[in-house]
Amino acid sequence: MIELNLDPMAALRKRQGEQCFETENYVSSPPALWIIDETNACWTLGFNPGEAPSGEFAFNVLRDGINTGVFASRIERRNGRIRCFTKDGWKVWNGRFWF
Amino acid sequence: MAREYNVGGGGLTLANQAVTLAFINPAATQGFEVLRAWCGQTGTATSAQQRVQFNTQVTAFPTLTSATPSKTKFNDPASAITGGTAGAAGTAGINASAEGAGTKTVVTHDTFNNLNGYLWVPTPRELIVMGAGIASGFGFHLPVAPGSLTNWQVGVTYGEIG
Repeated sequence: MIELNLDPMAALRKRQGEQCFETENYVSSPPALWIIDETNACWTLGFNPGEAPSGEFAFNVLRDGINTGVFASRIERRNGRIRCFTKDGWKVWNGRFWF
Repeated sequence: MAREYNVGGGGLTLANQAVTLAFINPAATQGFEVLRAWCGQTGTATSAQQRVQFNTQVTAFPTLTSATPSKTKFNDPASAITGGTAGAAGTAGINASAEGAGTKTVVTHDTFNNLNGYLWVPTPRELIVMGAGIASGFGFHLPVAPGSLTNWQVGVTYGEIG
């Protein structure tokens, strides 16, 4: 039996090489796996569950695989900005922190 | 939550056919619920839409690359589901090279853009539960071959129940 040491977490880290692109506006994750912003940062949901909006699961929000300090049920790119839906409603990333 | 595990792989080259990306078959005494599934590719920058399905399949199961479930909580014991190439009960595998003759029953159909990838996270009542000892395995399946076959990432997170 062949056991491959493949990396299922590759999608959570910053992508490299020629296939980087900028995600269009109004794309939401989920159902998208990742969102690539204008700085080439890769946004996705992590595996740690946290306080969630009613009726949904929420997970830590990762930027290039690093926690950004909030739990959200979805991440969205709108008008060139990254925002996420948390138990406190929508939060917008200003390049350094959520507000 | 505990006893949650990932089955998946990265940098995969898929067969040029409909392909089961991941297949997990519950053990005789250990069921699971599907908590998350994802796939994406970095093989092409050309945008295309891609169909995807969740399904169940009875024997004969797909022929797979063995994938040992990895823990997400490192104090947990190893999963009762182990890596296997035949899709048999209590085993998991990825990137099928043959689909097997067993009937597939589609649970959900969906579509995604290949540049954005696909992430499925259920709301609490949408959890897909595979009970212990049932005759079917759970498949994460591309029903048509993607335009670009290289550099795929795929994963399924499940939680053991019972």
